[in-house]
Amino acid sequence: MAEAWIELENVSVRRSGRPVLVDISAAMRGKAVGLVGANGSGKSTLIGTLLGVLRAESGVVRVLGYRLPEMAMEVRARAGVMAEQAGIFPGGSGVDAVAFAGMLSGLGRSDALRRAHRALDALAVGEERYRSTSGFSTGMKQRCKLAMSLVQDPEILILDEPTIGLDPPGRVQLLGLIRDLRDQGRRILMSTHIMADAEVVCDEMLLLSEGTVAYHGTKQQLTGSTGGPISAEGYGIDATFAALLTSYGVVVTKVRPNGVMFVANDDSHWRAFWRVVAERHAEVRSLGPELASLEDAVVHMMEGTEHHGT
Amino acid sequence: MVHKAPTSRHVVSTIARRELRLAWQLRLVKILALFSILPVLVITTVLVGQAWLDKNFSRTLDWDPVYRFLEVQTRVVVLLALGLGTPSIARDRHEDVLFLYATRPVLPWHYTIGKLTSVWAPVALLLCVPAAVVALLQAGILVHVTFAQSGLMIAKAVLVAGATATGLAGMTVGCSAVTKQTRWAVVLAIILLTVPDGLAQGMFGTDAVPVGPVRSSTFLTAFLFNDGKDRAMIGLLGFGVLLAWGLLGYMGIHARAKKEMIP
Repeated sequence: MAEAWIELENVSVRRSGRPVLVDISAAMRGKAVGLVGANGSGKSTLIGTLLGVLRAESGVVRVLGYRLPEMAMEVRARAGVMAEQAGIFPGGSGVDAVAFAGMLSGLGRSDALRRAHRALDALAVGEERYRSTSGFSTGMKQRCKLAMSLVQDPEILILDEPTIGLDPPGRVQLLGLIRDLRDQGRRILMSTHIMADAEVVCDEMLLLSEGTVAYHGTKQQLTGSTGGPISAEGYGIDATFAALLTSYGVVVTKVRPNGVMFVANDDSHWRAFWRVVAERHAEVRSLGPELASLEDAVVHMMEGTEHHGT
Repeated sequence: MVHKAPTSRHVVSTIARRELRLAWQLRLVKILALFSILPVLVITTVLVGQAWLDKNFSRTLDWDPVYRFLEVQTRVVVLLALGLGTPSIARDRHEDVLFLYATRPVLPWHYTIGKLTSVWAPVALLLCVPAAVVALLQAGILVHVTFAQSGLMIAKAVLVAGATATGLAGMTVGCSAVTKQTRWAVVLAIILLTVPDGLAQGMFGTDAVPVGPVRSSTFLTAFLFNDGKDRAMIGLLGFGVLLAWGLLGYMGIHARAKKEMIP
C-alpha cells in the first residue's frame, strides 16, 4: 500500500466561531485525490488547513509527513497551488507572473525565468506570455495559473476548480495536461464541482458533506457502492422475466433484450429473483450492481448523508 | 526541484523588487525619479559657485547645501512615494491575489515588509545618497568644511532619510491597504499628507506640532541641520511622528494581509 501523503486525524476547524470541519479523518494515498462536496462543505477550509494557513482547533494534519501548521513553510515550498478564487499576480506579463511565483518559492531570478518559460511551453502558451495578464482570456488565465503552480517543480499539486470557466476544448486540453502531470508522478489533490473532471483525473475520492467525511476511498468503490440497481443478464432474462419479478413485488427499473435491472433492497427481493430464475429456467450469465457514474454516486452519497443528518 | 523553504530575506526582497519593477513601468514614476536628480544638480552648481566666490573674493554664502537639498528633495520624494506606494496593495486586493501569496512560503509580515521596502528603499536612497554626495563635495571643494564635518552631515542625512522614508512608506502603502482602488488610495494619502498639518497650523499657527510626515521631516531636518538646540523638542517630536506613521502603516498592512491571506 502506498504511503499516505495527506493524513488527517480527527481534525476540526472553526471559522468565525462556526465549525466548518468536524472531526474528519482520512489518509490519502492515491496519485490523484478528488475533493468534492457541495458549496460550504469545507473544501476551501480543508485546502487552507493543508497549507497551514488555517489552524486546526484539534487533531493532527500532516502533508508529506510535515505536521501543520508548524511546518507550513516546508509544505508550501513543496506544493504548487492553483487557487480558484485568486487571480494572477497583477501588473506584469504572463511570464513575469509565473517567474515571480517561482521566486516566491525560493528560485533565483534567472532560474525562475527559465523555468517559467519551460512551464508555459509545456502548457502550450505561445507569444501571449509576453502580454499583460489583465488582457488574458479565461483559458489563458487558467493556463497561467497552472504554470504558476508548476514553476518550482512541486512534489504535490493542489488544484481548486482548475477547469472552471473554460470552454469544452480548453477543458479537455487542461484535463489532459493534469493527467499527464499525474502520470509523471506528481501527487494531485483536485477540488472540483465537475464530477466528469474528477472521473478523468482522480483515482481516490474524498467527499465532504457539512464538514464531515461522507466518503473516502477509491473511485471504483464509490461508483459501485451506491445501493443502486442490480443488473442481471443471461438466457431467458427478458420482458416476461421482468413481469414475473414485478409480480413478486420487486421494482424493475429497466428491461433489456437479454437482461433486466432491478432494485434489491433486502433478502426477500433476492429470494424473489432466484425463484423467478428457477421458474423460468433462466441461465444467469452476469449478476452484479449496475456501476453508477461518479456524478450519480456522489449525488446519491450526498443525499444519503443529508437524510442521515436530518 | 527547489523543495526547501526560502529565507525570509529572499521572500521580502523578491516582493520589494517586483513592486519596484512594476512601478518603474509607469511613466509618472520614471519622470519623478528623474526629477529627483534635479535638486542635487542645482545644489552642486551653487556649491561650485560658492567655492569660486570663496576662492576669488573670500566671500561665503550663508547657507547649508545639505539642509537646502533635503528640504527641497523631501517635497519631490513625497510625490514619488505616492506613485510607488498607493497602487501596491490596492492592486493585489483588486485582483484577489493575497491568498496566492499564502500558497507560497510567504507570511503576512514578509508581505508587509516587502511592500513597505519597495517605497522605503528608493525614497531613503534618493534622500540619502545625493545628500552624502553634496556633503562630500562640500568637504572637497570648500576650504572651511572638513571631512569630519562632512561625515557628521552624512550621518544626519541618513537619519533624516531613514525616518522620512519610514513615515512616507507607512502612510502611502498603508493607504493602499485600505481600499481596492488605487485612485482612492491616492486621494486618502493626499488628504493625510495635507489636512492634519493644515488643521494644526490653522489652529495653532506655524509653530504647531507636526502631524503629517512632510512637516515632521521638515522639523527634524531643521533641528539637525539648521536651528539646532532650540528646536530640539519639536525636531524629536517630528522624528517620533515619522516612526509612528511607519508603525501605523505596518500594523494596518499586516492586519489586512493576515485577514485576506486565507482561502
